Amino acid sequence: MSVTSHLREPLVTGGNPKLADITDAVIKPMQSKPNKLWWLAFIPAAILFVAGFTTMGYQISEGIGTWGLNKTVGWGWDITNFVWWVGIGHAGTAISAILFLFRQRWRTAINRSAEAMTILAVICAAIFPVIHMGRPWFGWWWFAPLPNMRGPLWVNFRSPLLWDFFAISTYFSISCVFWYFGLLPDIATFRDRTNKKVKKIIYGVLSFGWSGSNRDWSHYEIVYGILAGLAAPLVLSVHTIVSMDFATSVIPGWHTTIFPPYFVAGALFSGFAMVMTLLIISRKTQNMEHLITINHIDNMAKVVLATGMLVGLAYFTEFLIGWYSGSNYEGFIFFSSRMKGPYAWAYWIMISCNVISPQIFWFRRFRRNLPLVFVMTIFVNIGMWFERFVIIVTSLNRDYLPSSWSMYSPTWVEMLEYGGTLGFFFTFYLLFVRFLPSIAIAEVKSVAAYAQREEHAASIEEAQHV
Amino acid sequence: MGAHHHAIPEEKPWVMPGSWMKTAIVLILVGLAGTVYGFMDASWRGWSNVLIAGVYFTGVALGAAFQFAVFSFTNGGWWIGVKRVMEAFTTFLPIPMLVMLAIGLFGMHELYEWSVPEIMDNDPLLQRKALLLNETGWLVRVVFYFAVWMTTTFLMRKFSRAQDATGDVKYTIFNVRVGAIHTVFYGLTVTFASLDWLSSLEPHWFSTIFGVYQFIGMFVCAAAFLVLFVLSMQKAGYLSWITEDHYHDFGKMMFAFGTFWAYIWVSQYILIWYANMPEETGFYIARQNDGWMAIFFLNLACNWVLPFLILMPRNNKRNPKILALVAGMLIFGHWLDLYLQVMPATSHFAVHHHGATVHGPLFGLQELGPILLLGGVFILVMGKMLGAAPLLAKKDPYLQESLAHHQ
Repeated sequence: MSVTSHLREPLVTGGNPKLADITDAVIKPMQSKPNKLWWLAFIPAAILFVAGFTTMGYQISEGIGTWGLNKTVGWGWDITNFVWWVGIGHAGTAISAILFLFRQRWRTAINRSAEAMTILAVICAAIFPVIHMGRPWFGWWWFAPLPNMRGPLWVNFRSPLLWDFFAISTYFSISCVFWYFGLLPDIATFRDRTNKKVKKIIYGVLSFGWSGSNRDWSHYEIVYGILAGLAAPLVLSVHTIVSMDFATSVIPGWHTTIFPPYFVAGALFSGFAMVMTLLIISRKTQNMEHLITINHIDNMAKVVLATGMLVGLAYFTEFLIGWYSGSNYEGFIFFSSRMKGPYAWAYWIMISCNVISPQIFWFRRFRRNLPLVFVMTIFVNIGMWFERFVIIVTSLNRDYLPSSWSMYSPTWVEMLEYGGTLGFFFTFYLLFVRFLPSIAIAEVKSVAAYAQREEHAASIEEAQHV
Repeated sequence: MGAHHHAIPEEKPWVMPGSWMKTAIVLILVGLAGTVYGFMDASWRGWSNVLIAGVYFTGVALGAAFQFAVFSFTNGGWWIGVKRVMEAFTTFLPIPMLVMLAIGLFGMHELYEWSVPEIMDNDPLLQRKALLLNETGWLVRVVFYFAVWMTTTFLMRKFSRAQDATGDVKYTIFNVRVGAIHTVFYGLTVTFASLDWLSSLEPHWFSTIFGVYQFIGMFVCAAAFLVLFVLSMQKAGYLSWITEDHYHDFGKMMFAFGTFWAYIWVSQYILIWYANMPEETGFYIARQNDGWMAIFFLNLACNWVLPFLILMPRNNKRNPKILALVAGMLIFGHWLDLYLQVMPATSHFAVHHHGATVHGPLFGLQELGPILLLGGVFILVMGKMLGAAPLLAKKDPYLQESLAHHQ
């Protein structure tokens, strides 16, 4: 776009930095020793990571019996965590693919770290079905026939769990390619910047010989567009399939047709919240407040509000139809078991965090109040974790046969394993911001006012405060 | 401000093109004949087609209102050049309101089994839903929905036009707010209205995604109408500032949201098919038997398969002839979609309670009547309403972005 309305806030602030200043700001963490704040975050994350993964080893050697699951509640924290993590991943792809196709240029400062977040979140998610197998070394039977006397026995292609396997592995592959492909020019920039010989060689190999020529860029732009086109439907398909793990069943509270779009909205809701959690910290600690501006936070808060409202509408619709269906079982699950049952506390946490508290984002001054936004993003992810917990556990713990009703509570193994994935996530995110350019340098330059040689009229201020 | 400042284009004052008038008159005459014939033939058939037409044109206006609202509160720039066409679409709401009121006052018993007291008295399941499924409530809600929609769209038009005089940025901000509020109300009202008007034709059946399905159908249909109207207006020498790059975005809108329609369609179908519960599968059984299967597949072809394949290549999205073809397909497709939702239900009701003898799809002048009649009226009203404000929002702060729009 060669013309930008004077109403648009500049995407790079800080007194119109020169292009070289932008490069400097982004690669500075890669060239300097980490500061205290970084260590302060890294050490606990790494400890949690190691502790959690050790616990997984213990669980695999001892068996699933170390979890709190029982005959009635066969899915608990494991699948809750799985869905939660997959959902978080969605924001990365939405920012990099869908916002790219919608020509939302503010995405340039946040897409790189959001994509890294996606990849890490998908890995965290994938851990749970794998350890839930009990004997994960048999996991390859997901894509190979099971040998037996009667000939090859293939997996059940009608099972949504299998669809999920394919959906997530496709998603993971495309996300990695998309992320790494976008990194190429910036890795090359670092290769050219660094004076250290070893780093030059490593980043030289990683940059695949990127030369920055016209031809390189023209191929880059074409492939980037195609990858965005391929990734966009994945934003919808992955959580759609995840929702079908539940919705294809005949369990009240699971089988409802709105699940696919409702899960996608919820995924974006929690994913954007997690992107904000990460960016509010890293823009501050890495001195990137002029690149990831308050305007970016404001925009993401609006996305959180919008997707939160969609989730609220889906909750409402479920209630409406739960009543309208006239089915006793639907009525029981929605109006009795969830709202007033033994897990009602979890239900009300979900409603407070997902529907009620995000309403403050209707107001600009709250969207731009960083401490408040930070707290809200944590609330959203607490709420979204409880949403999955409520859906999974409250639909199972009181089933059709009251004599088999049962309660479920997690053991320390489940808790520590969940903590372990959080530790893994933050450990590798912290390593990412130190070893790779956490902002797409080339893309941010294209939206810097300096690059466009444009002046922003004084009326920006006036427009903001109407 | 941009480096290349575009001069504000010359604007021809709007006069309805003669071809519009001729088309409208033909549509109205054929439509009137078809409607009268439909009612003479069988009143349930007449009312069914009136319902399809009323819901259809409510959708065209609401789809445009939703687009206007969303483009406003997301601070869109590219669409300003066609903003006034969308505004004109939203002015149509009072006419489908009259249609829906007429159904509520005179046609209810021909369409909705829950409105017949003898049926209600013998059906304990329906009695549970009486809080929602009663005639007074239905009528009151029609008034309420339209009152909400007409208020918010009136405000959006008002602020948009007020800016023409002063260029004050505050009107843009107002529309960000009204657009957001409209969208919240729209989400709720469209959920209830689709339950009232369509889903309750088979009152034992239920599906939570039903409102979403109606919403996306309206969106795509309104986008297709926008394309046809813009192209026709350009042919008559208006909207000179709309270029190939805008066509490209129209094409992308139909491509992407047509695909979203298919996504919602599949979500509903696959979950009901998979769970195979008798209280849900009835909806599809009625639409896959007695000769409905062909229409069932034609619906998918018109609304997604063909538009998706045709609009895939970049050049096709920039070609006005191909865009018009796809828009036509989607306009027909949305009618077919509603036809497929309404007719199997109402004909089944007619067979069991009005002594009709009909099996399978009916298609005749009776079906063309109400939809063509309202279509003709729509063209006439647009011919008038497009003149209500200048076609170019000259002082919109995002106008320059739209004029310089480039893919």
